[in-house]
Amino acid sequence: MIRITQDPLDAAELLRGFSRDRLDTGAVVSFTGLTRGRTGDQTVETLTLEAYPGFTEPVMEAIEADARARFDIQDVLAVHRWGAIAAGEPVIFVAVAAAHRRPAFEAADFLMDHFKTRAPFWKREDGPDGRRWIEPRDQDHADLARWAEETP
Amino acid sequence: MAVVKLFGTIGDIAGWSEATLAGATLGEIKAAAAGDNARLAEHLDHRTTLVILNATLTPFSLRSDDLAIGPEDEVAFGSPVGGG
Repeated sequence: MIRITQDPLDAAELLRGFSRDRLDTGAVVSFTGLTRGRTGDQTVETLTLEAYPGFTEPVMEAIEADARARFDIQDVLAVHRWGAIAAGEPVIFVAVAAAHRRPAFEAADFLMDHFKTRAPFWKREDGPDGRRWIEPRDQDHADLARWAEETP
Repeated sequence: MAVVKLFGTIGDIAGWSEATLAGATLGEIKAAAAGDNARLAEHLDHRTTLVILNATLTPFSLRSDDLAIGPEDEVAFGSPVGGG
């Protein structure tokens, strides 16, 4: 399940709800992405993400479908925050349930690499040094390329 | 007429993020959006710019300036995503 929200994320509560009543699950792997307070030598006070509701979710759902087809997993929850987010606050929560740990770890890694690179969020950092739009990095493409080379 | 939305650096360059603009083709919509803002016109035309028609990404090969835009259509332009 994919959700985007402008509300703060409570990662502990999301994980608790996702893990509840899973008698066939042997592994839940979760990832929480936080807003960094520094980029290089620049202080970041606020990260602002623009989303396009109605467009952003289907792209994320297609990535979830890719992960479900590729890994032996049971369930996915991804909640991505957008709007203005203060440094230190969660920006994304991803959890994967599987019968065994390996596919859960790998699917969570796969989901994050693909959300980071392909999910349509436009990101801007604001701080005392001004504003800076975040552009795609070579590292993002290198992260994606891992999944083209590896055997599931 | 069509609703036009701008995302990322493109919105900053334009100074607005949503407008209703006159135009029956993608080319006319881009011209109406850019006005005399040459930098915005360049970004709207750029190959890496996302062109999203009614919440569906339009591949570069299909986004000719002759592409018909209806009065109920919503056209969005976004700078490339990723990073962070």
